[in-house]
Amino acid sequence: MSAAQPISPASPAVDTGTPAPSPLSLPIEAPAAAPDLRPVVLDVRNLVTYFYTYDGVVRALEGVSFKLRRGETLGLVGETGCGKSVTMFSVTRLIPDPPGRVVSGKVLFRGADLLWGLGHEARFIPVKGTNRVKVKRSFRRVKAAQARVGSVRGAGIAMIFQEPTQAMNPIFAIHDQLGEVLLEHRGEEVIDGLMASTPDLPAVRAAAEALERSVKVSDEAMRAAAKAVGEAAHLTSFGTQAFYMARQARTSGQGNLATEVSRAASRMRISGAQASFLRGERELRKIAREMRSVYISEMRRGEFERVNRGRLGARRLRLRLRRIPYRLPGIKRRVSRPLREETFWRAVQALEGVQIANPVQVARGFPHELSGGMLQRVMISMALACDPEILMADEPTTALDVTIQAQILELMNELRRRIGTAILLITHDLAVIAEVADRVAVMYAGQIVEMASVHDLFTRPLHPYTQGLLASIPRVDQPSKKLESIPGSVPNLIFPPSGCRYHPRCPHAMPVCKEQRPPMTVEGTGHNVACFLYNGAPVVE
Amino acid sequence: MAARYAQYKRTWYFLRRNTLAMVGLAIIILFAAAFVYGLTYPASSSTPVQYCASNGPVPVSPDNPCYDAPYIVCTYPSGTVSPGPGCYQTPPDNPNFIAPTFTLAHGLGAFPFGSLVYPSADLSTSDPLFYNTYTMLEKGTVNSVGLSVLIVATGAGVGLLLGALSGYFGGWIDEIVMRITDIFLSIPAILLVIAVIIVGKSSGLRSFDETLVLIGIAFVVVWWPFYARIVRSQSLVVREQRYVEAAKASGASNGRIIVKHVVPNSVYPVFVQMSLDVGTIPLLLAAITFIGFVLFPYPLIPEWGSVAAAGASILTAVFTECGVKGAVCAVPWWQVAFPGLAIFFFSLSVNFLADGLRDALDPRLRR
Amino acid sequence: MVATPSLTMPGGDGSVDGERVLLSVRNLRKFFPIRGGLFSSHIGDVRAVDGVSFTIHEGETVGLVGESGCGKTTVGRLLLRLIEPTSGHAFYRPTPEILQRIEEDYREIDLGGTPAPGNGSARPLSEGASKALRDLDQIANQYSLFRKRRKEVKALRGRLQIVFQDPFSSLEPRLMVRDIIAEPLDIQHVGTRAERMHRVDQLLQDVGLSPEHAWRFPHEFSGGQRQRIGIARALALRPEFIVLDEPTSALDVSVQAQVLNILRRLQQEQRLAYLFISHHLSVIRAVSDRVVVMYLGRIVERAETDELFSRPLHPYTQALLSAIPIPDPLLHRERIILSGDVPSPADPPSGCHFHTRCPAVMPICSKVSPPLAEVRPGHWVSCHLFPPTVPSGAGGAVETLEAGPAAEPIGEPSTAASTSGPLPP
Repeated sequence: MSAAQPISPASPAVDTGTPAPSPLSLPIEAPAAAPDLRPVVLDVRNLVTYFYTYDGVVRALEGVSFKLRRGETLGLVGETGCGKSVTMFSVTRLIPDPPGRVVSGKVLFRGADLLWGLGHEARFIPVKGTNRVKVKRSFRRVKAAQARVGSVRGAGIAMIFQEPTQAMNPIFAIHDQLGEVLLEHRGEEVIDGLMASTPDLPAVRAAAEALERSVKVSDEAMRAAAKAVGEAAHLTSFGTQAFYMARQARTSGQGNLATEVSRAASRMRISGAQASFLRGERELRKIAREMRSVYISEMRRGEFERVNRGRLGARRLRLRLRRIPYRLPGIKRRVSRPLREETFWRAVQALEGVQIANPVQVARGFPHELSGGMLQRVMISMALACDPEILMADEPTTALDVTIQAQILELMNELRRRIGTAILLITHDLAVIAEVADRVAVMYAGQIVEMASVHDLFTRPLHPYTQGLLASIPRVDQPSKKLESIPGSVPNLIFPPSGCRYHPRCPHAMPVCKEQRPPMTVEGTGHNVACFLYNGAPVVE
Repeated sequence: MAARYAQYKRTWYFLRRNTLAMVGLAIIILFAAAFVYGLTYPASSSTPVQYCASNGPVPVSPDNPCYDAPYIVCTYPSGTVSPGPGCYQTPPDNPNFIAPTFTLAHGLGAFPFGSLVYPSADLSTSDPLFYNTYTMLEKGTVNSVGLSVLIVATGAGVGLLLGALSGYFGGWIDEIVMRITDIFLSIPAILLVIAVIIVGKSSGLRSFDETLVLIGIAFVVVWWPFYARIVRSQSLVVREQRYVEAAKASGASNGRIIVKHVVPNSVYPVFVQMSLDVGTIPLLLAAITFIGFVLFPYPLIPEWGSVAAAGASILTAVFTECGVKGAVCAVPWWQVAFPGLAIFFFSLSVNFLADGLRDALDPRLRR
Repeated sequence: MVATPSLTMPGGDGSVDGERVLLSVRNLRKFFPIRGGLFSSHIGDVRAVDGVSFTIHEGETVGLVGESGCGKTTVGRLLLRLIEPTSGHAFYRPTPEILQRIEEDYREIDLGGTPAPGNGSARPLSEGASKALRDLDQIANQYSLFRKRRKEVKALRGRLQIVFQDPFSSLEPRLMVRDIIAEPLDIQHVGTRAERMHRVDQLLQDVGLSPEHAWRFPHEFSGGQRQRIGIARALALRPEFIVLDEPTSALDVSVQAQVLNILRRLQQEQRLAYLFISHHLSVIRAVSDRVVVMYLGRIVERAETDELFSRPLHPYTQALLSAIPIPDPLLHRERIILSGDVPSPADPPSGCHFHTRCPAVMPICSKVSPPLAEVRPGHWVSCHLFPPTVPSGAGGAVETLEAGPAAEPIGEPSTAASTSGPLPP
């Protein structure tokens, strides 16, 4: 990754009469607000999540609703305990159950309600004389629900989490973990590509020689030549392999690159046993995909499809039984070699995509060998490897240093432009939101209090909480700004305040705020707020 | 104040929901009651209640060897007619052997198997010492439970001290203590106990109290390394905590930090281990006696393990004598069963309770 | 080729508003030995702090900025002697005359010249330099924090305190708040039990909590409240200097504002000096009077706050400033994105530590470590882009960072003649 531009110091040594160009330059014009007509990918309606603990019922989310449109980045902002992470986990049913429970709500994704079946899964029995509620769960149904939603996670909704150093399995190499994700979600495509690759050896030889010549020329020439090699071999990952072989040849100064490449190409032949192994793998992946679509149609139509599931399950079982011989240690290694190599180089490609400078080394390495910033990139590449429609990022840069955070945010911006995934970014740092997000939803105590475009939120914050937050952030560019703190503290969610949950701390509290919960009203194009100070039209679902 | 009480209430709530732990608790309470009762039992701790077999009707005549005995039980040889109610039948060639019957134990209502324990493995001896199973259990409870608790407490204490010092200071203290614990941990517990006892006995300790102390020391010697290890690993964690640094920043000396911060925060796993070990010690004692190494000159000291071991040897003798030689006798199965069951239930209940406590106190299992 | 080492220390940054100097830190170094190999031999050092010098005056806030691994946390702990330094001094309350002497001594040593490290032969020190070393030693015996004996250190503990970053682990969870706050008083045997409890109530009110909170346990409080309890504990012994180690990094924004306001009020009421360690530049700007920027154990830039933020000279400072996300979507900035990761302090790059990531790197940067030079009044930078001009009067003093490994151990009075090699005193 290269620097934006070299710094020119204002003037060396003593004479610094004219100030250096400040890193903070002048503001630009605000973009015009236009109604958003892109299709909605995720529609969350009235999400209610409670945690049933010994001390009582923690009402973590009390009716959260928002829409995520294709290609936009929605920032979910709030302080500790406001429920933003809980929102993300509720959408994909990752709430630990017990003690938590998504009580009600709808999450529409690809026309399916991910939370279908909530009502059947648990019964609630309040315990007299205490604040506790006993929850009787039908674990069979809960597990089934998990399996259903599991079909959507990964390829539909990908997630990255806060602590990159703890998010990966420490005993597997990076390429193993990346490869696992790739195979799981794009296995058929990968295997098809592999099996269709019949390298045209003479063409490969010619292309390899061209590659060898290009080593001395430049990086771009190398890339182009490597791509040509890949085309000759009918396998793009071989092109990647060739490129890195060339790079290594350049540093080590060896001269027989062309021979090496050709030899590697000739080794690509797939034997009979390997081919049947691959076919079996592909079949497994196909069944997995069909299962997933069964789950989705279940969620779409709102009823179980036991027949289809049973049939698929039986097929899978038979297939697995037939493939037992492939699991024997010696055989497994030999028979899965082409697939492993293919996934390795695809993993390298994925790592290239997130601008890691030495992807081969990183792919071979283990999580503990990498720094936080690197690991977060690897996580991003794992999340994006499946081409998801939605990427949910839970505080992805909080654990990183400022300069590394800048790198990652830059990366996310670029990926956003390039790939166009919708991103749900959860953070407590309003500055990060300003950098990356298109729209913002501000949460407080389990409710969304304001939702607007980034520009509107920062120039015209409506809700008193948003205003309080903005007033308390120290600004590098405003040194004399007085830091205003919000009086009081975050409410106990077991006994939340009545009506508007913010009213105990609000400087503009009115009597009605204590009695009723303010509805979300529209206060401008795309600017919604839940506050009795404003009398706009209520938001229509 | 209120906060601590609320914490106890919460712990108790979780404990109550754990059935096994409640069962364990109930059994432990029974044992505790037996312990207390045994302590207050009028007979002296070192002399068991001795019954004398009258081999005839009671009250006995002056020429009966049991005439002066404080406690007499009425026995009659089988084949003859019972002299009266409450008399036990004995095999003809072995007047010291009594079949189990329902009988009154001293003043506590009907208690089955109030019959007698034979002191030595030699059936043919005419040693007129009889022991009441009931007494045996009670005194045995006192001895076993008391011994376990004392051993564990001392072992934990020694281990705590050494472990805290070793973990907190590190360096050569740590090295030395850890190498010593290595040595002790690499020797099987039983062997070490036996070795210590042999050394002790050879230097002339014979009396009951001294033997008891010797055994206690042997076990403590074997047990403290476990605790030292546990405490050491905890204190390694505690000494890195911020609040310890804060105390240092205010000028706390090392001693103060160890006493006021390291030890109290390292003690939780020790409690858990202690409660588990309390159940293990009687097992170990029994094991030692079972392999033939006589710890106590039973019958002077009823201790579950020794009693069970003695009973086992009696059973063997019974089978050879009666079964092989064809005489009629009762098989004194109760001599093995009761002490064995006592050990079993004691260990089990302690384990259940300790498990339950650990689960209830674990902050991570949030309910 | 190695830079001409010079041991001259710039005399603080002058005096700020005529305030007395509370602490003058010179050439502070802390190396953690790396043990490896078959016999756990000493195979290297983690150079956590590698020649750090700055001054703190009474009642001012000095901000110490840097990313993780730069050594700022270690500096804080060194000043409180929670860790023992490898070499260097921290002069406590030196009078202006003593300060003058110190400066002259360092200048003498610099001029007298000590041979470069790794040069092989040890050049004997000049007469003036040896005398200066001896004088410095004498001053250190009297004024340096690191040479004080245990009893004196314990007495000083009350004056120098620390507030930690993590409000969750800095309070012992099984003690009540009153015990936690009273502990420093207990350790130093201050007052009777009743008096201590009274003081605890007072302290709680100082930080904006109520006396009834004294009877609760830490886990019943929120992060911000716990941090305030930590501050109350630090105030118990009436300190004059508090090291604040990332006190608000674990807190939410609005809570952070609360805590910062409390800290500011307390500073004004009790004339406290703060060393505010953080990696959040915006927070540093809001609280500090002067700022010190560290990278990989060394100071790269040192200036008054406004000066630093409006005229950042060192490339690293510029990158840091441009990397801060600003909560304003309208501001469009040219981001200076640094390539690569922060190198490991166990194996730092040669010469200027920053050269592997510097956008303005020059050939000399990998060979020679740039000295810290006063480029503008009160504004010191360590960068080859700003080579020091000839030292002259007010503006041109220079400080070296390339002096070699640990000096003779702290606490042993050194005879100057017996020092071998280029050892910074």
